[in-house]
Amino acid sequence: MNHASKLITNIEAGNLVSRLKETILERWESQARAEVPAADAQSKRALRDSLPPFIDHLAETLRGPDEKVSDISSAEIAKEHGDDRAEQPGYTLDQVIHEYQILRRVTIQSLRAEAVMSESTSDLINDYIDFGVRKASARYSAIENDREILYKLNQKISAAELIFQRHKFEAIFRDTPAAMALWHGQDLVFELVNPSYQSVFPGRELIGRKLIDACPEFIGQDFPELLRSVMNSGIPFVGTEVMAEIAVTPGGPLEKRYFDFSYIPIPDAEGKPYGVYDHAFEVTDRVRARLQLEESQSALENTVEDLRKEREARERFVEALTHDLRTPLTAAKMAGQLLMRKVPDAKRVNTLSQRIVSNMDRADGMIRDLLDANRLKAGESIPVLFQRCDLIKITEAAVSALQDLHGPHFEIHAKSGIMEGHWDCSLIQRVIENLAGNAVKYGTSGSPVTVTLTHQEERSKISVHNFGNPISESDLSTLFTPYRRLSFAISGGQKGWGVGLTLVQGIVQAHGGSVSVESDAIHGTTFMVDLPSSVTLPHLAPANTAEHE
Amino acid sequence: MSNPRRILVVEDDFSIRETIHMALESEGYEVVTAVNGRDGLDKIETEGGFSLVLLDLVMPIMGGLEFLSHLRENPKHAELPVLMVSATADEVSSQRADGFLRKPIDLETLLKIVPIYAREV
Repeated sequence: MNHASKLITNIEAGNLVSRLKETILERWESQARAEVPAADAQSKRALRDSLPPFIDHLAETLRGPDEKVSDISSAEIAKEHGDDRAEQPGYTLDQVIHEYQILRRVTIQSLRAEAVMSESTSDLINDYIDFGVRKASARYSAIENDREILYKLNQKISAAELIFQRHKFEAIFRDTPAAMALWHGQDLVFELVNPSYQSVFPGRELIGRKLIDACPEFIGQDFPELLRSVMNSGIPFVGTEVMAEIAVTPGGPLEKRYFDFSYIPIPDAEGKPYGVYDHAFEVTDRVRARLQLEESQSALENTVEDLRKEREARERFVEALTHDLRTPLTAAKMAGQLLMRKVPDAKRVNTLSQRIVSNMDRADGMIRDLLDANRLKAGESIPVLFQRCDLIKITEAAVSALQDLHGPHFEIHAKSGIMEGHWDCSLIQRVIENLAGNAVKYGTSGSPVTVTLTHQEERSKISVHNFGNPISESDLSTLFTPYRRLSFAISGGQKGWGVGLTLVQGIVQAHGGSVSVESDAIHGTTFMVDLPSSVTLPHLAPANTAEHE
Repeated sequence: MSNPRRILVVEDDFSIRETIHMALESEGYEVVTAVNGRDGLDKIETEGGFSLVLLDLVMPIMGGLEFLSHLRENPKHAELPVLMVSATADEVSSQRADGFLRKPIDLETLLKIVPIYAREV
């Protein structure tokens, strides 16, 4: 280089700086990108930033009259550069200073390549760049400092905000009428409960305890599994009027309580299952009131239904009673009219007279049966007059009466010569009349009705048998219930109002005996009455032996 | 009567059945009895030649209404007059019969009505 040996003045150095400005910038940029980590990420323009005017001003300073650096404008340029670097991400103070060192090195090297500089020129260039370094780094530091203060201030504000938010949350949590609780972990440990929640388990320690330890009554109920499922699935659960069995005192009796509630899953900061929040309202009073109302309504409906059935049964009963009473009245009336109409022979007079009497007795028997059945229905017993009776004679009298009414269908089988006992003779006759009368009504038309009498070991048995359709299982269960006619009798168009068998049972029981029935399609139907021959029952007080007719 | 008419009495109650039987017989009718509707239909088929049926309504095995249905469905006997006798028969059921007598029956009324309804055979 031609000028290497020539010592240049400050003015010449300034002119040289101006001429070499672009070279300096290029070298600086290349070295800065290589040595300063934050520089390489910058665009050319951003990286050079305020360096071009800074170099221009260096040239001005070298050309100026004063041989020192004091110009305010250079300070401004450097400050601006410090501001700029502080704004750029990744720049540290060391890197800002290093950039100036590169500038110093590149500038001195570039000038020395062209000329020889005096000591004072080098010093002035060094001073100028040092000045820039100081201003830029001071500015950088100030901004960083401000930033730190701001950060700390922000942190304080955030903490205050957090406390405020927490207070607000606690107030809501504490004062709300809803019962709230928070559990965490697969063991469902109580983390938070509010007073409303605590009031469900008065005096019980909950916080910090596992759900099933604090509330062992939930073992076997659905809640623990449900909570875990909500926590692990992340899907909330809403329950309406769900019943929980809760012990008011630990280990005490369980009470049915009802709740509307929401289980809300709470994830941790990474989104993994953390716990479950419960927001519940107790609705026990409402549910109980509704259940009570429903029960009352149901009871009322049942009562109305019972009354309706009773009314229908009464109407059917009155209809059947009217119909049945007209039958003996018709027979007796026609027999009487026939007697009056013609002068009959003695035999006919006897037959018709007997028919009138039998049918009057039949009507009277119906009324008597009805009154006695009513008495039994009201829980009273039938008055019994005990006397010595011959069972064979009683049976013959009953069959004779029935033959007048129904014709000659009846057979009597007595398996012993004498069968005597202490009974109410007329009541036992009514038992036989009822059973044999039913047998002829419900038995196969024209087939015989057999009354079999046996006597063994102080007990007498009366069996009444007929062939015909058997009594169904369902009818057997209500056979002796007052006013409950058999479905067979109803569908078969048979007359009667369902008091006969009630009466039979009442009379037999008043004698200390029992009545049973066997019925099937092959063997037909047999009613069996079992009577003690000599009744010495403790309940036979004098009041029960009153005359009953 | 020189030409006695045959009357079928279908009635399950023995007393009533036999009293009607006796009354009609004493008036010169020939009387056949049946104890229920089924028995009545059998008698019509096997004996035939009836001028009139006196029919009870409520009977076991086969009641009066079912008897009437079967009778009216059979062209041979569809025209056979039927007088219904019952304590419970109402207008509806009596419409299916030719006439209706309410129990307790008045014997004089019965004996006056029977020759009116009884047809020549």
